[in-house]
Amino acid sequence: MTDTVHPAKRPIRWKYFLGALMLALPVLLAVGLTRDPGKLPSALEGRSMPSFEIPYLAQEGTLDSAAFKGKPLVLNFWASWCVSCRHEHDELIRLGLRSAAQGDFRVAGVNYRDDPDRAQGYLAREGAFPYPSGYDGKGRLGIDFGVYGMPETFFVDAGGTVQMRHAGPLTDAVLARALPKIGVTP
Amino acid sequence: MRHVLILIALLLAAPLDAGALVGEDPQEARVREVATQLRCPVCQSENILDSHSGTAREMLDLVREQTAEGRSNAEIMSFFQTRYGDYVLLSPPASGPGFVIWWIPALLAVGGAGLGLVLVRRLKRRGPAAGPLRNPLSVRDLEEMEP
Repeated sequence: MTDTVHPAKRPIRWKYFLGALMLALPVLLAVGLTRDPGKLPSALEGRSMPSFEIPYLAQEGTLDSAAFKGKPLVLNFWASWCVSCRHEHDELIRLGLRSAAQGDFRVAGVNYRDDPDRAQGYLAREGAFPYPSGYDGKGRLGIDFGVYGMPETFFVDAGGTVQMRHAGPLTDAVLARALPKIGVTP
Repeated sequence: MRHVLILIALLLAAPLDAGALVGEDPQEARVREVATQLRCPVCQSENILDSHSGTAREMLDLVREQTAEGRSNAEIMSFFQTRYGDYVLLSPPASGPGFVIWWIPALLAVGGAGLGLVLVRRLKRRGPAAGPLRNPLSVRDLEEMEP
């Protein structure tokens, strides 16, 4: 009815709507361009850590997730074929030594899709971790954790909930952000 | 001539039954169906059937094992979805943030149709266009213009 009274009004409203739509699309695409498509969000964050029992890489026995109950855990996936793992190696050794000295949190490694001999050689060359690593030769545990690249580190709180996943080498800055999330002072 | 015709007919008929002869194992067909819907998390633009990465091979083995255990396609997909998130599904779900992806084309189509409608209505309101169209060239005019 209003059409007949004010025939010129409607198209103007449409113009605003369409203008907003045409503006919104480039804005949406521009925001998309600033994001790194290689970085995937972890589906595990906020959920409890998958339970596992895998053989140790260098010793008898198994790395059992039940053994970590009650204490915050830093779980690091690494491989000898992974170049960026070398960049975080010293950081992990420092973190492991600190955990051994203070005992307020645990650190564990998972050697992912690797050859056990090469993994041992890597540790002999770069320096052994002050904590044990489990061996995930086929990468099945990696799939349970939604791992897509090396290295990846999971920060699990004392209650067993994964609070954060970091893909890429660990740095002081990453630890300063991640450790408080599992109740550990960085 | 008749022999030639029979030969041609036989050659044409031969592939008709080929599907039954090379019939795929139904279980393997299901593995393929699920695998083509799952994204390889390492290469990120291939499905796990096409990808040659070790992780994709292992995921394919898992699909095969779970199919053999009698799990449904939906169960296998959700197994990977809980581990890798919606990202692992090559067609994002139409719920949650994924709905934007599905509705943007519809929104653009509606927007475009709306724009077209507005323009057509405006042109109609203006009436016949002014200018040369009001006095189209006659055949004589055209003849005069010819060199």
